[in-house]
Amino acid sequence: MIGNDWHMIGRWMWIIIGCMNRIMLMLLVMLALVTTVEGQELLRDRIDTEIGLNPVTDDGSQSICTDFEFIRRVYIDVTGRHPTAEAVVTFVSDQSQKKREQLIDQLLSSPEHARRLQHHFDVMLLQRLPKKQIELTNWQQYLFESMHSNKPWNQLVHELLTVDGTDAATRPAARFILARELKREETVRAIGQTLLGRDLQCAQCHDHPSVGDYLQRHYYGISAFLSRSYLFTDPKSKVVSIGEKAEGDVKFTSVFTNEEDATSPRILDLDAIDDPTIEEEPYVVKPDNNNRGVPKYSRRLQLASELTSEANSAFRLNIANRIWALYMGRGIVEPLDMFHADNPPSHPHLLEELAQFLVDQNYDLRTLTREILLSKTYQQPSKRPSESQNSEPFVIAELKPLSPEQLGLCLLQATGVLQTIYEKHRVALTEGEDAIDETTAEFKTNLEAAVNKETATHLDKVVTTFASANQSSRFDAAANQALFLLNSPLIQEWLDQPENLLIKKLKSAENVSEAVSHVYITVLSRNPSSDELDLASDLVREFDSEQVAGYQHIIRLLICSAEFRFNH
Amino acid sequence: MASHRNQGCNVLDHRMSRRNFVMGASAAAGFGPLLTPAMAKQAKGQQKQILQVYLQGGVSQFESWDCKPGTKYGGPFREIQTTVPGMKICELLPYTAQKMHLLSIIRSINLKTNDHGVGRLFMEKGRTVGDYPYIGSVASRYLKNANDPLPGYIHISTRGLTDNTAAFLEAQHGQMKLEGVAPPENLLPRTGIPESVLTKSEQFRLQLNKQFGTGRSKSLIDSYDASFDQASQLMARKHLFESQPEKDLNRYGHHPFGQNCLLARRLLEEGVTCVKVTHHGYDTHAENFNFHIEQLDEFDKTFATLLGDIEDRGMLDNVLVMVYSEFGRTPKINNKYGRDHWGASCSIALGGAGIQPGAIIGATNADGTEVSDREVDGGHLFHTYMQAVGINSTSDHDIPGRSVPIGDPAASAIEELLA
Repeated sequence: MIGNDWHMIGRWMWIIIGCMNRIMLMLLVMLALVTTVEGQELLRDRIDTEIGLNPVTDDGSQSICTDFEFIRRVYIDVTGRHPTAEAVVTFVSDQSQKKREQLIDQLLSSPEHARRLQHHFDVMLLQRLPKKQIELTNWQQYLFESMHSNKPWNQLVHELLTVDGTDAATRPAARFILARELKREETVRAIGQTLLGRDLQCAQCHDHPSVGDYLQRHYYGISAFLSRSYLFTDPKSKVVSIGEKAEGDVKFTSVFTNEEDATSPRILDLDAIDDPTIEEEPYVVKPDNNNRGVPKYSRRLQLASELTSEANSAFRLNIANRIWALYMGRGIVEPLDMFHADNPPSHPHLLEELAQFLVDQNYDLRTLTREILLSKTYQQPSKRPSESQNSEPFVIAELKPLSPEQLGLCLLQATGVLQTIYEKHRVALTEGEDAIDETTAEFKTNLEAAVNKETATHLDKVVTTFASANQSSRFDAAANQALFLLNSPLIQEWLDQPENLLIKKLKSAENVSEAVSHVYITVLSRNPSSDELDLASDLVREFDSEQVAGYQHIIRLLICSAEFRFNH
Repeated sequence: MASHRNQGCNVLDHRMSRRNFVMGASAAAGFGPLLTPAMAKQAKGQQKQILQVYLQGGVSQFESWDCKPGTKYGGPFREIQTTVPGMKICELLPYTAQKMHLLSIIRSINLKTNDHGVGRLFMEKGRTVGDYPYIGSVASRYLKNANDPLPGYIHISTRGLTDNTAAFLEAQHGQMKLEGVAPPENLLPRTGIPESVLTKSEQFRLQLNKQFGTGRSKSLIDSYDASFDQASQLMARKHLFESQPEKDLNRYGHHPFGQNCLLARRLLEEGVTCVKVTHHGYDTHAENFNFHIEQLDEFDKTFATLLGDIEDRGMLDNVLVMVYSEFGRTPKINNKYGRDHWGASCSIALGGAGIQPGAIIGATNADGTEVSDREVDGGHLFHTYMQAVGINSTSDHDIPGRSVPIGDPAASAIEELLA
């Protein structure tokens, strides 16, 4: 009996100890919850900690970029263009403690931010493919609206993969697939690169010869989701949309080994997705010459769910890395489409946190962007104070080459054209019978639409000269681009427009140095140093009779500078 | 699920060959200050270059390099003797026939496509699909001396598509397209700038970049500055585009192809790594024979003159010359006396640099309907071109963070053609 008692006591003790473990665990969890709420460990601070930023230097001063640098950087990153001279002057003289946060919020909610993201995601998702089936303006409008309403990323991707193109209202989203005509090599590659961070191109014909993680079955696993889909041309309207069959499997052969293999749909190394058993009729609409096939079970719709599901960490890590790279100038995994074991992230824990933040925030890209921009890491100077300083990534701000679209907008801004166009449409919208109040959201959106329309042709020229399909964020420069900046008659046309407000302002300046200072702040968002002021003023005076030509010349020199070419 | 790995090429091999290769490339690019002028000149003389003559639309192999006179599909033309005993080509190429001891012919190309776009990409990139750089961009990337003033890849054409030829390589290795002999866009300086301002302006720009560059990424700013250097070198050579020497034009022909080929020679002399000249108009779905008389008449004398000039200048040891199309033409003659697209058995001619001259590689059957010996495709050709100019096409591209084989690992060079 005694033995039994001891046995009982022993059991109770184990149970108590077991409970204590659980209680301890619960307490820890609660503590953790409290600290997240109470301790305010905001993502922006977590970023700085993970980067290992030491924002206070030895002499007690904070390492942070100047207001001039900050306003230029954040304008280009968020709106795609640098600030007007007036915006710079106002911001720099603002004494408010919260002015950076206020500016970030103002810019993030502006339609200009939506346009910037429209440009960015257009290039990322469509890789500058030519028009096919879908009007480019409709696609651009769809992206603009998605970005302006801050549509969750998973929802956007879901639309890109599932829209079949039969409904005019949602048809523009089908461009992701229709522009590639559902060609396997293009569509699967684009999904891998842009949505999963993996360029599986080499895995099409064989397992990647030197990237151990990229296997042929990864490529064909994604391919299997799409292999039953096909382009359907309506016999009457000739409209092309996406149909799907209910059967067909994917086989592949390695060109090296000639071994044949097969795979069900699967995302990378996740489990294969077997088709559900469907009794009797597998079709909602049977495919034939007159009817677009619609199966009861669609592998393509399944792809959208599987790809964006929580089980697929590649989806969230990819977009977290891409948003980070967009504002920080390089990815935590770089190149952005080279996630694999031999190319580890520079800050793995941070990348996980950014991705988890996105999941917790329902893939709200704007909120993530806001935290990144508010971090001290984002607001570091790009200039190293001394050679000896630590060159770990992100400890000083990277130089970001302007994208072709950013460069185009900045050129229009620097030559006074953008401001002139804005002013023209502002007046048009606020006068006359249909006048709109300038403070309304409607006004802002209409103004942006009108300006976009008018700048489109100017932008196209710059984009064709500077664009390459290069997916990496490496910087490129070619002679024809330099020739464009140096000599292009187009830029001269912009500067010679009679209504150009910048040139008018320079003409009315009191003296040469006032005008030159205005040129500097307009083009480079900063004041000239006294040496620069002297040198530039001397150059202007060499154009003795025609001072305007002198100012134009200084503008053209400044737009050829590296300081202008990079966001810094 | 089988989890076998395809070990087509060994990772270690990749790394080893890449290292050797990169060392070779950096030695070639970086020795400027270490060499005496004489040595530098000698080294420059050894720099490999490429001349591509692209017969756009698909030249007929029957009417050029692979005649089948007197056979079912042979067409009306005879074959003629060349300077290589036993090597016969079509009578439409009499001048080229006198230069065949400088060239070799490949008659056994099967591209497995009859599509212009796919065929062209296969011939340029050595792959049928995917985002890979063109021959000219790869050459520019690995052969161009960092100090060479002109762009590494210039394409002279009178029309055609703008391709992203550099793919993942740097933009400076993308082709610079010239519309015939017209100067590149934006080449001419702005007017109305006082002479006194020009030098000061250049100093002003350099000073600005120097100041901005202090404490910032040197490589980015250097490559930006380099593009302006290249631009000003081009501007300084605007004479190349102003007029072609009359005496030479009389030899090359005054027609656009003649002018373009003359410009090509002058650009090669200026050290441009890869010059491509396109001769348009070989897509002869109707009147194949009349069109070939016209087209090849223009091609033959001009090309033979250009090849002769390259040889006379002692450049042929270092210049790979290739004459190619996106495919050939059907054996069957259609009811409009045309021949249609045919990728299954076509030919090219090539020579110079590391190519054995005077050889005939492969063969087609008696009627020319299929390859009967030594079948090759665009992948094999790409490896062959690259190795002929000293690029190890079995190594990987020198791109940070990526591992992309230069040539298709499933194909290899035509070894017997390499000198």
